Amino acid sequence: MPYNDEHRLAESEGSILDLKGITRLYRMGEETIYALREVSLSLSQNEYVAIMGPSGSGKSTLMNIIGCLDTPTHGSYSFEGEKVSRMNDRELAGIRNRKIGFVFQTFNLLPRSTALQNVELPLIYSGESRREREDRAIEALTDVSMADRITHKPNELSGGQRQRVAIARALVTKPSIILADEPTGNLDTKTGNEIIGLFESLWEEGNTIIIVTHEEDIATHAARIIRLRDGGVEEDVVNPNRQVSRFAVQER
Amino acid sequence: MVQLRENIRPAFRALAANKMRATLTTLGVVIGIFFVLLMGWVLNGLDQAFTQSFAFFGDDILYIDKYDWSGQTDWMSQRNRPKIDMLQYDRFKERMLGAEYVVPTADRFSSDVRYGDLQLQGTMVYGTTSEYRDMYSGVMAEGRFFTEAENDLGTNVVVLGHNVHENLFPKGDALGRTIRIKGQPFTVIGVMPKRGTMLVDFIDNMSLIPIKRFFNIYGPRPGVTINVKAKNPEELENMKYEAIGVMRAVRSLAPEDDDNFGVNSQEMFSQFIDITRGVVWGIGLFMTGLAFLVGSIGIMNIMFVSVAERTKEIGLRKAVGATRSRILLQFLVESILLCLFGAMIGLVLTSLIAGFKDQVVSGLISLLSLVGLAEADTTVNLSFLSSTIPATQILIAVVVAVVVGVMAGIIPAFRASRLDPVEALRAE
Repeated sequence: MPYNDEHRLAESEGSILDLKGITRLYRMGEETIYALREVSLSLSQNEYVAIMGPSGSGKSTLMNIIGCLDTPTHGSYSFEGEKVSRMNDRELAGIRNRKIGFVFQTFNLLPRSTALQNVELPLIYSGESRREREDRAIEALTDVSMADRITHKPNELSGGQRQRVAIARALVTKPSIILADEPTGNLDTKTGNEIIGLFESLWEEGNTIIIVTHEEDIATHAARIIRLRDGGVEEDVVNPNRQVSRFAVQER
Repeated sequence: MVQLRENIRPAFRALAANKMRATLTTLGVVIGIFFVLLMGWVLNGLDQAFTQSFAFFGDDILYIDKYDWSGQTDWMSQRNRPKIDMLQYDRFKERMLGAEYVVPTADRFSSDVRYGDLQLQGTMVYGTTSEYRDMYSGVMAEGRFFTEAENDLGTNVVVLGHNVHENLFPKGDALGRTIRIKGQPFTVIGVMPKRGTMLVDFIDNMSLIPIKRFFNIYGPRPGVTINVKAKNPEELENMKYEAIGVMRAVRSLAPEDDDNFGVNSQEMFSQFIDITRGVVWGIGLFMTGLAFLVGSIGIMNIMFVSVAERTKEIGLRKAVGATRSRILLQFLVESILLCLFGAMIGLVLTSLIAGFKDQVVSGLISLLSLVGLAEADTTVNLSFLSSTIPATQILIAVVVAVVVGVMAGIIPAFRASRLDPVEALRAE
């Protein structure tokens, strides 16, 4: 119902993203698999959300759709008022470039490029000048306390440092949301906590953060927890016992 | 352009990471470019050699002769044509008003040109008139040409061709000496500069004497070739029709008769050039085509490997905002750079061969003589080949490399651009 969608969009003033009845089907031969069933949710500016669920719950699919890497089979998805669910490949690439900062479990840094070059990458695709790219990349690396490592290549950095570079890359375009998929999955507990602390301080600075995780420990830091099961939203609550990371203070 | 520049650096980085692989992959392209350049180099040399060689025939001169030099008409039937004699020449000259000069030449191979004990084999004796000198500018190196009076009187004077002079008078003191042609004494009054080239050097092996004296010595049998010079090269074509008409009138041919003489010009030789050119092209194109086929399959293969290896990188690039066309461009640039790299190696190889052409060929000859395919003392005149690769050839090679790069890279690049970002990010 397009009218209704437009209507409700206008109602949800201040929301960054709005998902209405999102369904994602996969056809495997004869079988049809519902990765997501009629998922609706909306996110406002400066939220800190953890998306949780066991494997197969659809949290990866949901993250891919929120991140505009995938498109829903049914339903509508609006990102800051723009109908993402009707966009073509090129427009989606533009949204990913300008509005979304990705942080991955495996960091996904280009191995032969320096930290600076890695962070510059999104700005290359948005067509910034060389000077501008460098300035903004250095600024982003400074924000994650990596200013003294800009010429290092990934294999010269520790796991935590690599993830910081990856976070700088996500921040460099000043995106509307930061989307982190198991960002501590490849880190030891201590380093993982530092990264969570970093997210927390970014949130305090006004960023909107979505973390996809299956670890309760990680989720407890979020302000809102969305739990998925079998492709549907099982629970969507304000975190009743939110913990402030003690590393967050140190980061400041 | 900005996009292109942003793609070149990562492409270099990707290639540098697999130097050995990149080098081996480009082998086909190296060989292909090597052939392209080698072929261009040889053809260029041949062209120059031909142009220079036939230039002395002049682009403004017709040669009216018993024979068609092009070889298009059956030679046996040409044999039965009447020869052109001096009487016909005189009549022709009288009526041929559109020409600047009309000069007769008659020639004979002679094994009897001698000075003292030195005897020359296989030289030519040419009979002509004093106007020959006016018609062919720059024919004198030393001394003078014979005069009209000497011509009319049939004086025993001779102008020597470059090689004749060098062989009979190694010290260069020919002027005023007396040589013997068919036993008759001739005083050397002039020497011609080197006019011939690698392909056509008979012109340096001749001795010019007054045509009247020529017929005295050799009798009336040799035919005359009428050299007709136009006022300028543009008029040659018109003059040709006039010459045919005049010659037919001189010979009183009926309208239904075929021409029983040939009207020749420098152009005739272009056919000869075209055939040689065609052979070189044919061989060269075949080899080049084969090398590029193999080469582009190699490049395509390695590009598929490169795409497969970097699937995750492609996913990441898409996630941070790379559009399909950016990914396509990235891999195309890489493929093109790979080919340009191959072209560079090919260029270096060809340049080395061009630079050391004499050593390379003599090395080849001694190698061939080892297995009995060539005489060890064979020498080849390579002066027609330049010792550098011409810039136009290099440009062509670069363009070819880019085209091969695009053709070999387009399918892998297209496949990379179409990868689903979710799938690509999941790859290991």
